Amino acid sequence: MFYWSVKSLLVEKWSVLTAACGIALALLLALYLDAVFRGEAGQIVTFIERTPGDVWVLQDGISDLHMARSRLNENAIYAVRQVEGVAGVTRFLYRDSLIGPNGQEKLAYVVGIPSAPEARSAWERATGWTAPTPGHVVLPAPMARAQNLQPGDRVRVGDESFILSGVSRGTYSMANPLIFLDETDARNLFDMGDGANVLLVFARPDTSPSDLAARINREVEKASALAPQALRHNDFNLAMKMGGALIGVLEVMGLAVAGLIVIFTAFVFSSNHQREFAIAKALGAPTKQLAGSALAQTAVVSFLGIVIGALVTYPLEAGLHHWVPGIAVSFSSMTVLVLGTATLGLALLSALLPLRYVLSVDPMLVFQG
Amino acid sequence: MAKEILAAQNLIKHFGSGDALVRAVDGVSLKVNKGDLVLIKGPSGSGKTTLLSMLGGLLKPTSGTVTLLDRELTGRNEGELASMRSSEIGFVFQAYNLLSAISVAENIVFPARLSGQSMEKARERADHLISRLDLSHRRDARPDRLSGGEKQRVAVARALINDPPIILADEPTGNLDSQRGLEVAMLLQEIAKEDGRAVVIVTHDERIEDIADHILWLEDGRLRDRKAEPHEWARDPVCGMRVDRWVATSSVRYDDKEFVFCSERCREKFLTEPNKYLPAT
Ligand SMILES: Nc1ncnc2c1ncn2[C@@H]1O[C@H](COP(=O)(O)OP(=O)(O)OP(=O)(O)O)[C@@H](O)[C@H]1O
Ligand SMILES: [Mg+2]
Repeated sequence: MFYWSVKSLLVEKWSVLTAACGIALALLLALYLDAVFRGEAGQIVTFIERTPGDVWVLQDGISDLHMARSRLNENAIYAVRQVEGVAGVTRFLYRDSLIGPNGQEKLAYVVGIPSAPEARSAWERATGWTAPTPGHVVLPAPMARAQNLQPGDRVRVGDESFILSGVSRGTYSMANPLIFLDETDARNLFDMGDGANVLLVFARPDTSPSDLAARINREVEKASALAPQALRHNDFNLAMKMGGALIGVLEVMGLAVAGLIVIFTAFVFSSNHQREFAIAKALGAPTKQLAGSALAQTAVVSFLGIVIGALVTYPLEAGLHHWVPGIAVSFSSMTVLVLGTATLGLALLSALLPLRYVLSVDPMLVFQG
Repeated sequence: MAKEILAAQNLIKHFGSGDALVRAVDGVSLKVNKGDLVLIKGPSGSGKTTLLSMLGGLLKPTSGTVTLLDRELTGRNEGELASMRSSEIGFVFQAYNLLSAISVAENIVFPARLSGQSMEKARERADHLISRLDLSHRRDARPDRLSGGEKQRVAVARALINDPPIILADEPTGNLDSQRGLEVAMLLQEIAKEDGRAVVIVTHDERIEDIADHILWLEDGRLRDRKAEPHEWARDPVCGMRVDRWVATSSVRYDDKEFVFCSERCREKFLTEPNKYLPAT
């Protein structure tokens, strides 16, 4: 029976393939949106991933860089320095600002890179990004391209004007592009005489980063210390959560489309094969086996669709990076797995509808010419 | 005494109800023994297919019983009937009804898969049937590449794969030219005589009559055994044509005698002036 049902599918390989591609497309639709948000979130956290340091210190009560509300005053910074096991700290300015010509401003996060030469070069080595010198700005590559800016062109950030000195890669997201200024310029721009927004703490070799974070949290009242992974995790999830409702709706829509395609295919297939089911019934095929073979057919088509969808995902990711560099997409194997399973489950559920039709086929059809 | 394979007792099948009631089969009793080849004939719509499908456990009778190898079919559930169909009955249809996606060899073993037989044995049997029915050169072909005669031979092989005691065939030669039709008919006879199976054939095909042990004549759902007197010739009193009483569609009782006519026209002529046509006495 199973052999027969699979063979029947092979005979109609084109309609099977069309249906499978439809399912693949529906799956990709849902996956793609998830990938866009994942890609965006990934770009948002690259700064955290690449910037060297063992412990991030933010203002007390803040555990992510979103909206950049963190502010640490000199007392707090001094207190952090005094904690046992701290080898050194680097201060970063990190705040949101408007960028671009009047009337066309975009929101961006401005990072003030430390002016001290050792801190700068350590940061440049670790990140691979060039730090801007005073009077200069570094923009994400897609942003510079979108505004048609060349190095040497003037760029408005807030109320000031800077010269574009270079571009960075991996820091562009549609919601949160990250741009870099020299610390002094950033202080002037934000009117911030002292203090910092973010501290990066280096631990002594004999102190583990997690112990150090715990110690800072205990000893410094106005600071919140986090391991880099924890901060990255918080920011990533926050970014995903902002897209969550939209992703959810599109995923449900994708699944619904996949379900409809399955119902339609299974329905067309079972009505095309009505006579064959009647023959099998007349020859004594038990109802259970007939149901099983109809379900197996649906399962094979859906599985094929899911495999096609999953296989297309990775080349698609590479293609999108190449053709549409402005949109960061990052497909997640976990999402492929979860959505793939959901699609398969839904497909089998949808197959129950035409199944009733298969089971009610009249074996007396075999006597008709 | 010959072994009884199949028996039907007072089988009735009615479709619909009230004014639309159709008495498709109306009180048929019959017996088929081992080695018997029985033909069921009758005009279109007389209930032949309905009868055959009840004999084969495909259709539930309104009342009456069917007994296959001393086991009653009536009253069994769908699952039991399906299992009996797959293992104890071989079906052959006018429309061949092969499964189009699989090869000749796979079609032939299909019922063996359903009856849960050992596939090794089934394949051996299939090989044997393939060479017996002269299908060796076609064993891997798909059904749509076969001629009608080949298709029907595949269907016969499929009917035999589970070694059933009885074969039920509905118009097995209906779609074949006379040469191929004759071959299939001879094959069915061989299956009855050499294998000792009971074979029941519904047919319109005149040529099969010669090989039958019994011919059952079905009319309006009722049976008559016709082998003893295959025809009962009479003359149409109007036009003088020879008419078979068993098949005549128009007749009239007049003067306590039954007159049969070749057509409704002759009957009407007769009724207007009976005396003109009455044979001189
Ligand atoms: N499912 C059904 N519902 C209603 N009436 C039916 C049904 N099946 C058969 N009939 C009627 O029962 C009668 C007998 O039909 P059946 O098919 O058994 O005749 P048949 O002798 O096989 O005819 P033919 O030689 O044309 O194949 C016909 O009047 C037919 O219309
Ligand atoms: Mg018929």
